[in-house]
This record gives sequence, structure tokens and C-alpha cells, in this order.
Amino acid sequence: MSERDADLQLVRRVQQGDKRAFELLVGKYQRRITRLLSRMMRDPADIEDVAQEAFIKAYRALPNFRGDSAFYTWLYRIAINTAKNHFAAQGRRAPTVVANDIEDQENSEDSVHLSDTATPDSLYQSKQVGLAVNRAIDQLPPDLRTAIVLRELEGLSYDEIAEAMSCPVGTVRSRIFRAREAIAQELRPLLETREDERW
Amino acid sequence: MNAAPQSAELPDARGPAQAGGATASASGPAAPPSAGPGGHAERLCAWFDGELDDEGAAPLTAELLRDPALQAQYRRWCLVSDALRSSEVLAGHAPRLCTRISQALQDEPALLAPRALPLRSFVRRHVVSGVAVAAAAAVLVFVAVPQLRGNLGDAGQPLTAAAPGAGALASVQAGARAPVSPRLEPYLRAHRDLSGAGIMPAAGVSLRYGPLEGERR
Repeated sequence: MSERDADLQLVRRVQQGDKRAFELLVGKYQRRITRLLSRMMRDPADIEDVAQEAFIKAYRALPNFRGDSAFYTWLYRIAINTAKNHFAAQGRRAPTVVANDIEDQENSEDSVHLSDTATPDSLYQSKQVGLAVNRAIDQLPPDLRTAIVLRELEGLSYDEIAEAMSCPVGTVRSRIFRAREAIAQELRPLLETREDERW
Repeated sequence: MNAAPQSAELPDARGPAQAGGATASASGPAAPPSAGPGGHAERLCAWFDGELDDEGAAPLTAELLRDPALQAQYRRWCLVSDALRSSEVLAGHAPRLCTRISQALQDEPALLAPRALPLRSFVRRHVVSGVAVAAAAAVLVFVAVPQLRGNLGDAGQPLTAAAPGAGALASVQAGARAPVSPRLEPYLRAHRDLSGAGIMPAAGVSLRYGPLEGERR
């Protein structure tokens, strides 16, 4: 089973009529979709509108999704097309974004740079988040830090991490779980969300 | 980075009970309570990474969709994952967007996508096609076989003997159980000459079994 399979399980749930499963997918991909759209348009209100429209279009099109591609790749193409339609409706030409590049971009986050459309506000926010994330990672015990970094940044499987850290897979799972929770606690004030609020 | 294993930690936290014990680790901060009974949160964490086997994943997915606490945890991890991969992603975080989409979904009908479901696909492929074959066979039995019997005649003449023309007429006449009006004979003969003696002599069927309107009166 892979992360893609986990998405697919949620997709199957949506296809069986469970909207909550789609809300979880929205929660997972809304930020990446938003960032994608922010490269194409400047106005935050437009970005939110197009993102919402893209998700609703994806929801309506889900009966036709068979899992041949990853859900997020499929979703990104919908978002790109929705953005293009948005520009067309406004009589403007969309910036060139090739759908095939999207997956490459997602797989190489290190190469992601701020777009030309970044505002001073977004630059500041991004910097603050970056500092908070670094601080959260620094505060982790070394074993938790190693496990989460190997997982999230290096993309290693639990088995590979267990081998690298000379510990059982179950221990890796426990460390990653605790690391995630600790980082989430650290980021919570920055994002101004309450415990009971939807992220 | 220090990659040394921590002996104070649980050797294996695969089971729910063991996952709960992980909170007692002395090597780090106190672990957050696992949401739901039996440490579902830790297994959810593994599922989130695609590291749970299929057997364990299915019930956990159902649990996730039922339990708001697990859903909140899932969202937090999505956010952490985005944050670790790119601060730019997280900087664009719009908490309202989820709520907006959730509200918009309220107006959407629930999906039922039988074509996309593996189970239904199996049903369609095997059961429905089987039913279609059975229906075709039934049509063959109830329509074509009586025709063939009619062509064979009472004496059991083979079908090959029912050649177009006079032979076909003879076989059809032999199979006719209802009397046919003599004044229709020329019409029937002309019709059979034109239509041949295939396995679907429709005119023969209607004339043989259907009461003729003229005779009824």
C-alpha cells in the first residue's frame, strides 16, 4: 500500500456516497492547489474562488475517476483547467503552466521557489512559517527528528527508516506519529487555529 | 542528525496496546493521546504514509470517517506534511477554504459511481454479462427452437430438407396445427416463395397460430 492507495481508498468512499471522505481530500490538497493557483493568479480572492470551483468540479467528476493516475495529479489538471476557464471568462490569457510539469514540481519540493507573483505579505508569511517549521524540528528529540525528516523530506519508507535507524518498524511508526504531533503543536499558534477548528 | 536507536522506546508499536504505551517514552516529549480507542491515531499515521496493509486499512478508513478526532488529526498531519515540504505551501494556508468547500458540498448530491467501483465492476462484468447470455439463450429456446421444430415437421424431417420453394412449404404445412383457410393458400405460397425458409419465418408464425380476423367474423 502506498500514499496513493490511501488517497484511492478515500476516493472509493466518496464514490460510495460519503462526502466526508472528500472533505479529507480537500484538507489534504487545498494548500497545494492554492499554491499552484497562486502561480497563475495574484488576487487571493480569485485563488480561493478558483480553488473552490476546482474542488467542486473534481467532486462532480469523481464517478469517472478510475485511479489510473494519482488522485492529486488528476486534481491538479482540473485546477489548471479551471484556472484557464477563469481567465477565459475574464478575457485574459492564462499563464503557461504545463500539466505534465505539475507532478515533477510536487516531487521536487526543494526546487520550489517563490513565484514572481509573491507579495511582500506572502513572502513574510512564508518566511515566518519556514522559521517556525525549523524551530519545531530543532526542538524535536534527535530520534523523532531523524524519523520525520527521513520520511517527509527524503521520502523513505518505514522499512528503510527502520534499517537506517537500526530499530523496529513499529518504533519508526511511533516516532513519526509523535514528531508530527509535536510539529503540529508548534505550528498551531502561527496558523491561528483553535484545537476544535478545521484545518 | 543523530540516528542512534533509543532503547527507551517501545520495540514495536504495531498493536493498539503497544501504541498506547509509546506515550511513556522517555526520549522525547510526552506523546499526544491517541485519538479513539486502541491507539487508532498511530495506525492512522501509518495509513497516512501508505504504510498500513490493506487488511488494516479498510476498517481504519471507516473509523476515520466516523471519528471527528481522527479527522482533525489527519488534517493536522496534512498540514505538517505540507509545512515540512515547503513553507510556501503552508504560507498560502487559507483556513476558510475548507469550510467554504464543505458548505458548497452540502448542495451537491451524494455520488454513486458504480462504474468506478471495483466490486460493482466485477458484478457488471461477470453477473450482468451472464444474465445477458442467459437471456439470449432463452430467446433462442422460446423463439428459434419452435421455428426449427416447425420446419422439421411432425415426421421429424431434418431442417436441411426444408429448401426454399415447395419443400419449405411442405414442411411448414406439415407443422401447422391450426387449419388455414383455403383462400389464403395462394397468399401463403407467394409469401413463402419470397421470404424463403429461414429460421425466422415470421409470417408463418403469425398465420399458423394467430386467429385470422376475417375468419373470426
